[in-house]
Amino acid sequence: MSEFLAVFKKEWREVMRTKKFYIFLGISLALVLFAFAVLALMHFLFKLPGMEVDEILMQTFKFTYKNATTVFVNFLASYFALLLIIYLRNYMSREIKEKKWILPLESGIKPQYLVIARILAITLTILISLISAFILHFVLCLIFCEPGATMEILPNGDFVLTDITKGKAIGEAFYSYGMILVYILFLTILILGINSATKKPALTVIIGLILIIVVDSVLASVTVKIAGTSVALQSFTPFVFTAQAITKATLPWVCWLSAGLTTAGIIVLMIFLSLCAIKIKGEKIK
Amino acid sequence: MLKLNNINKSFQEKQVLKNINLEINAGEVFGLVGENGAGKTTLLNIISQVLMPTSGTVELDGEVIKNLNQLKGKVGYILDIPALHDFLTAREYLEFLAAPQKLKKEELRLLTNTLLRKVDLEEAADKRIKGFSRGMRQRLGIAAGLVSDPEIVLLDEPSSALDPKGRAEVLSIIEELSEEGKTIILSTHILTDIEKVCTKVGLIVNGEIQITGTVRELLKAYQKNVYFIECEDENVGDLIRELSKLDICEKAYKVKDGVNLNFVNGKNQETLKAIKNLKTPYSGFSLKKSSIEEIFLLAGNKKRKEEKETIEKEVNSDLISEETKSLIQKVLNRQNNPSQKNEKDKTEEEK
Repeated sequence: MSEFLAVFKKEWREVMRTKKFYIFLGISLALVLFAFAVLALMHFLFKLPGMEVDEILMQTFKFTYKNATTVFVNFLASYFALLLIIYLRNYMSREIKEKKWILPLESGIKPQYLVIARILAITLTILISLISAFILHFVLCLIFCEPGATMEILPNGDFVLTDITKGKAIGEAFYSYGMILVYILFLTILILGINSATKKPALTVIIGLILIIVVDSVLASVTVKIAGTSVALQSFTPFVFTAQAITKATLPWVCWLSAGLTTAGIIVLMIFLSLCAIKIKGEKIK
Repeated sequence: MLKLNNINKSFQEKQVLKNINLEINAGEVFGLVGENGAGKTTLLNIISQVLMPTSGTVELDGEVIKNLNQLKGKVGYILDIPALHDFLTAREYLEFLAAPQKLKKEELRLLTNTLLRKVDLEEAADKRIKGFSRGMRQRLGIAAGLVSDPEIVLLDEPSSALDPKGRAEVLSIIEELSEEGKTIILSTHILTDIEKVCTKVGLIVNGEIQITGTVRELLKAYQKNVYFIECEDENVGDLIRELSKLDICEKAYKVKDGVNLNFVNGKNQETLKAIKNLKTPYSGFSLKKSSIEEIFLLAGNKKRKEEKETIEKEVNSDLISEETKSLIQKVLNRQNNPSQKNEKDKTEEEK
């Protein structure tokens, strides 16, 4: 067996035997059920006798692919992201702090293999968990949801509902899945990189929260004009993926290019920081 | 040969290693002795390149070692508390560490079986490390350090937290490794272990090497005739105080079951007479040679005495208040004579 595969095998064993895989899988599937439960609650709440709700507003709580996906993706972007930050806050630093890399390094294992295998194992875990959740979500959508309708605003200011086809609804759902998947994987590697660089779990959490809450909000509120269209700064960054998962707005190609490059660049930087962290530079006297 | 040239190490403002110079020949079992906090682990970390020295160099067979890559496969470093992956079995852990060797399945099996047999863990090979006892973890740590068949094995207090049976097992493994021709550096504060397995020893006190040499050389240079006076624990303090007042006394200190008296060279008859005239009750006495443990104890005490004198000079300066001087003096007295009880302890005992 190659050296890298042997190292990856050890990391995968950790993920499975320490139940990390089952935890992420469980949380992902639970969020699907929770999302449907919330949608159902709102849907039936607004149908109670005495509740007179505008037809347009009712569209938001109907069992449609769009609504089900929007709620689920929102939960992933918020709750799952938060849990990810908290759970991974010391995933890299713990190995260094507990000196678990000394013997492997002394026995000749390449440090980059240790780092990349560790990142790969947890990323794969999250990937499988999310894909499983998407499958469950899609099946539930097939059972309970209708394609729904889109809302258009007429020149006179009136709203009009236009039915969408099932194919388009499914396509949009998969688009949302894809976008949020990219965002979550990006966030995973970002948190691992921050933890490697800071080696402090608390600081990792703080920086992570600042990025996903504050920075994202600030970038979303600042706009620039591209070819006559106002576009949020967020659209040029990796945070565009979470926005796209929900809104599916049309963006200029330059936004996609920028978001893609910054995402790839940050991922490479985080992996580089993780590789640097394994050089044990010194210890503090306790 | 492993050579340490003027190794210094500081952490922020504090210097933890001072001008360490050592030569350890191939095949030697070098015992690094010192109290907790003396700098033993830091020195081992520097040898293994886990830490970089502030200044100085580590040489292996004439080559200056600058990074971990140069030592790959040549050094096995076994920590005092081996950092193992609890979720793996013993065999899986060794197979993981053997990955760089790219062995075939059968060869890997043979290697892990050999290592596990060496440390008497064959029966626990397929059990998760999580369920291992302290002694088993220590032995597995040793096996892990030997996966790459290193020339040099560093052991950081391998037996300190083990019961006597565990210690005996670890020492037996060390002896076997020595017979195989490996160079071993063993750090410990258990001096009896040193006498059992080490060919050469060094005492480190507050980051400095005080004395080094083979056990035989040290005994020849520092071993003295001492009187062992057997007495009850309750009389030890009084006996030390009474002996310390005698002119023939160089040093009186507590040992197991009594007190050792280092006396002035050539004053055997006077010492014998003084012992017979002691007022503090004792049950017997005998003349013996000081052990390596006692030699190190005295060397360490000598260093502490020198430091105490330095502190006392500063304490007696006019810059410090009387209250602070008094407090520091009490602390120094307790450090120097741990058998002396303070007034509070005595009062509590009387009650």
